[in-house]
Amino acid sequence: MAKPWITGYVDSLSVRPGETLQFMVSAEGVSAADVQLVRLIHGDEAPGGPGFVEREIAASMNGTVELSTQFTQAGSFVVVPDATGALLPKGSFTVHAFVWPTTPGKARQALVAQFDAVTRAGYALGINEAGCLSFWAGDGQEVHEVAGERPLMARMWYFVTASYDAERGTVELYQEAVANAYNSHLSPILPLDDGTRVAGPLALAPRSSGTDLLLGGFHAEAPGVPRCVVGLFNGKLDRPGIQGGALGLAELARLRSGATPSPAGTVAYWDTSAGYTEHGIGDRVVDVGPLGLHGQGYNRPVRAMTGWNWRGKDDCFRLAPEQYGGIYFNEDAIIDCRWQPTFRWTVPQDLKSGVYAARLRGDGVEDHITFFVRPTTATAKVAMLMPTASYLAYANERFVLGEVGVVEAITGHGLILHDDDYFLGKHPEFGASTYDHHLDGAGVCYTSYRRPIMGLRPRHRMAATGVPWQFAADMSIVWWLEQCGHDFDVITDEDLDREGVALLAPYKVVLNGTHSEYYSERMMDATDQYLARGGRVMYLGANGYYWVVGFRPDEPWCMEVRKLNSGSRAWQAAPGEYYLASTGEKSGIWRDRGRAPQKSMGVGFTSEGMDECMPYRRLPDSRDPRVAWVLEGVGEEFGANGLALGGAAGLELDRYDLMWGTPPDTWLLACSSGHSDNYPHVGEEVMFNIPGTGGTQDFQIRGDVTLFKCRAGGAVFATGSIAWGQALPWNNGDNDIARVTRNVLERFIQDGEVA
Amino acid sequence: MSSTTLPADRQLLAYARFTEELKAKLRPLITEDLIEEHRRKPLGQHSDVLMRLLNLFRRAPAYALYSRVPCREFQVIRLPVPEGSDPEPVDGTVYHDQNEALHAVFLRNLEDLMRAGDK
Repeated sequence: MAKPWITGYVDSLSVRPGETLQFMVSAEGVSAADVQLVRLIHGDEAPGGPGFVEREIAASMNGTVELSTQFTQAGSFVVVPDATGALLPKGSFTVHAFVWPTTPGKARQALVAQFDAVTRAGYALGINEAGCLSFWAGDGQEVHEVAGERPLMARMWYFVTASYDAERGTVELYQEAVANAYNSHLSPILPLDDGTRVAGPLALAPRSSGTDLLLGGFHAEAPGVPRCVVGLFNGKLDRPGIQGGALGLAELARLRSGATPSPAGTVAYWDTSAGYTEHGIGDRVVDVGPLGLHGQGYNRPVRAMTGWNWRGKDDCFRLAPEQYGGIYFNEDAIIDCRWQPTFRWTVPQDLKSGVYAARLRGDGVEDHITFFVRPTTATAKVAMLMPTASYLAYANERFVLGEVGVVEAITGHGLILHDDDYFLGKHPEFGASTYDHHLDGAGVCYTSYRRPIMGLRPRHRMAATGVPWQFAADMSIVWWLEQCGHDFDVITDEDLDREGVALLAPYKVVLNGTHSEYYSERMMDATDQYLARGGRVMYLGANGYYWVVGFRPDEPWCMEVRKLNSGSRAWQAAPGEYYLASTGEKSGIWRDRGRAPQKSMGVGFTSEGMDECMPYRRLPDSRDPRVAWVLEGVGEEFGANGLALGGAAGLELDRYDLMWGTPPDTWLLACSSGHSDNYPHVGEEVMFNIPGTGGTQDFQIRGDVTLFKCRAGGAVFATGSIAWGQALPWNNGDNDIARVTRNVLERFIQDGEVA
Repeated sequence: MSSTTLPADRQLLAYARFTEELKAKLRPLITEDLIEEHRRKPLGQHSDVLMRLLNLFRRAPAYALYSRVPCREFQVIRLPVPEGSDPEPVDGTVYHDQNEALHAVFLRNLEDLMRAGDK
């Protein structure tokens, strides 16, 4: 029997008093659990710190709940409701599509399917286990198949059809490559013998499955699950359709050329290039045929992808939507587990803003389902902005499982796996992070919190670095705030993206987390507007304000990023696929859109390494009487201790640089030095690769402590290091990093200019 | 090598030859002092030779650590970790010091490197 487990998620990460949260929980080997509301104070269990700290809170959620194992439908596909069975035409018909498969031969995959494996009814155009084009159909008793003879090649565009001739009882399959110099993996100069035209008998008359038609899968059942979708397709589909009659070669050639099918014979024609707007595209797939049977994406098939006719000149769907009919499907995509709520809870009016979790315990197993409670209206001068967008980016990173890439060479630190990593390995259905690849090798561009996320557990440590990362690391800042004597509210990136500057405006000071790396344009704008109106930001991290991300307003739990041709990136979007389907914006790093982090925060990403952290040393600006208060009480060197790799400066580092927009009057108060060669200079600043760009030979490998003033009394203090936050709890908070942080906080909450 | 055994990706041949030559150059540089340097400080800046050796190990890691009790218990495991598997430490040794455990990984890498050189 499998090791017992409990896991779950909430439907909204950020809630206010009076709002109701739904907790979706699944378990195996545990039939019931005790639920306890806890306020989370600290997570990191490293020696030298306070360890894991939580405070139990009386709440109506506390009690016992019964648990069961809940099913997760992974994989992206398109659902086309077909209540009347119209998508199985009477008599002869032809199914056609453009297809760019990525895993032909891996397993049976459906392209266009009104097929149910349970009832053995319907039909499907797909790819069989041998990687060949295939048409299979069932009459409720048997399933017969006609298959091609030449396997499709991966990452090549084909036009594929199946023509069913009811009178003759035959199926003719036709596949022909439509590769041009840009759209496929290999060049059309090659003598690839991968076209085929095969006819075979179909000794049954297909009967309607009575189900929805699916693009990218077919209906089946699984153990304990009455209905599910299998036969999931990996790759891109473009403009599939169904025509009445068994089309001949001339008609097929016309479709292959990209011509719109004649309305007279069309049963359905999903124009996957239709529906684009200046602001992106949703999940609806438009049927321009007479029945208007539009499809709806499930687990977000990826839009804004190049199609079969992409010619390489226009790099965005906004310039040439007709060349962007590609919809990318992945068998392991997950946006929403869609579990049934296990319990609901309304946040009481008197619950103080903070970081909370529902703690579930049963049969010796424990889980924390984390969420953030913001106030109805601001209750403090200080806000802690939890970088939930960045939590999403790293959600369920699993790059230490299976074939390990270059991660250890990046970190310079041996990998340390924990039970969370093995749990993820047993649950591929919980999806991956934007640092991972789908099973077919495509980068993961969507991430969502409507699924269990290991990194949202307070004790979580990242295998690649051996230290807490993102949320669990930010809890060291929360711990410090909890005991610093100043009230604070907790707010999240989700709130910032939705509400803009109005969210920040009531606060005198906003603290950001250790690694606020992922920012939407609305979040960037809100931050700038807040600063220009007198707001003050304490940026207690590094490599922040870096990636351009987008959220659809109606689904704030799901974030999109495309990793482009610069920046420290786990994958790289394919040519032409650089724009966010969620918003229409160009993704990549903000620097490449004219908004280097230095312009807003004074510092920007310069290096990363996870082998050792170092202290800072003062620079002359720290003695300037106008800002001497920042480092008051600390010596020439400070930050020589911390929970993360023994110092306050490291993991990732940010640097002052006038060339990238650091404000000219910025005080460069201190910087770290002595970093190892496992800290190389970031690629986006390297025009030519030269030897010797590591910490022992390049002065740019450092974390900078800076301060500058904005309009109307605004100011930014930056620490240039991720490890700063994890240094705060060292020695129970009695340390020089905590002293500096307090110096700044107490000056920033005062009225008047900071310097 | 007969043509029928050539890999589809011929670059693997270049990789194999390069890696073997690199290992052959590194083997004679391994000394007791080098091992002691790593034992004293497994993470951070090292001497040129040790950095080169670690770069080799880190680009294609063969071992990692499993920590059943975070920060307190470490055991050496083999990589890759197949998805769906349970922790399978290479032996029963439990390290209570992370640096000691990282050094144990280093020693295993060294042993593999030297053993391959004996063939």
